Amino acid sequence: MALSLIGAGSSIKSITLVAILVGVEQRLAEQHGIDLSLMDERAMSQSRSPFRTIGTLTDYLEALMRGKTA
Amino acid sequence: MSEEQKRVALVTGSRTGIGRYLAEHFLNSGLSVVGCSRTPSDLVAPGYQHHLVDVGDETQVVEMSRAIGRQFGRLDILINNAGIASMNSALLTPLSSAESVLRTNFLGSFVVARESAKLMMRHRTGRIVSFSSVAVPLRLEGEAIYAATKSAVESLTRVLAKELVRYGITVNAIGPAPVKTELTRSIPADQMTALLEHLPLPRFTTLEEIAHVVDFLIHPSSDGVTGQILYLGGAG
Ligand SMILES: NC(=O)c1ccc[n+]([C@@H]2O[C@H](COP(=O)([O-])OP(=O)(O)OC[C@H]3O[C@@H](n4cnc5c(N)ncnc54)[C@H](OP(=O)(O)O)[C@@H]3O)[C@@H](O)[C@H]2O)c1
Repeated sequence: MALSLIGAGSSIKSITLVAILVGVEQRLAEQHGIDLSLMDERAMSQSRSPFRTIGTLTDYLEALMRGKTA
Repeated sequence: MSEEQKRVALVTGSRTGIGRYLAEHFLNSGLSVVGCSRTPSDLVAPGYQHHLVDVGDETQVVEMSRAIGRQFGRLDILINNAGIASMNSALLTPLSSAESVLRTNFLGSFVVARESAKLMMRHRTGRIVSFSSVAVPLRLEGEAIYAATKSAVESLTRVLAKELVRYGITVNAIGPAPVKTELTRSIPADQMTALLEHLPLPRFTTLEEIAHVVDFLIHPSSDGVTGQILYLGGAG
């Protein structure tokens, strides 16, 4: 089963999700020199949150990074 | 103390007035200071660097914040000071003027606090001090928009304090009485006298008094002081 980050199936508090997302942004910047804002209008405007599971978050990150390098 | 161990402070609106005074005060206390304003600053000092940033421009704020992260790997103190005023009867205030005061005073304070908190979370410690004004509790005529943006800063302060307490970050605001700076220079003397008379302590707040309150709020022992609005001049 996919690990849920938000919603009923998740044991992660929303505040922990904030810390995870901020941590991912910082690792990308520090270790890979990639400046990305995960919590921008695109993420907020999607009807299904990209932060639902580790899998959807990874897909979203890949899409953002493709956009950066395209 | 090595460069890496120095506490790092970001002071917005550090070109003039209160922000300039606090930037120099921090430099004298041995902190590394990053300042910003929309136009160039003539402050040149070891340990100080200036960014040309409009706090109402999210892209510029994010870029400055990333530069601080890259250079220092930390941010300990944010003085959310950049602010503008527009004294006018509400009935004569154009929407464009209200929007620009809101963008700098409230949205600017929000976006700088948001990006700064992300840097502070790394070390699970931080101090955010924003600027309100006695215009809020005094409900001064002619300051409807300015006071409303400062009320918004106060609400932001109280809610952010709750959201950030778990990361060791305190969030407070100072509400000075009038201070002799560019911001108040254009207020006619008779109006200023009338304004001061609204205060229990009817005189200007000094820059030294503001620095004293800031020093208290950013002190390592002030971990338990958060979500507070501290007025000067006896207002509130
Ligand atoms: N003076 C008072 O009586 C008084 C009383 C209560 C509260 N306050 C508050 O104290 C704070 C500082 O006021 P002050 O009296 O020191 O004013 P000031 O002397 O006019 O200085 C304001 C500073 O903010 C900068 N600034 C303005 N808009 C900006 C923006 N969008 N982005 C970045 N920087 C910006 C200005 O530089 P640039 O123009 O180059 O950008 C300047 O360096 C304000 O928040 C004000 O509301 C002042």
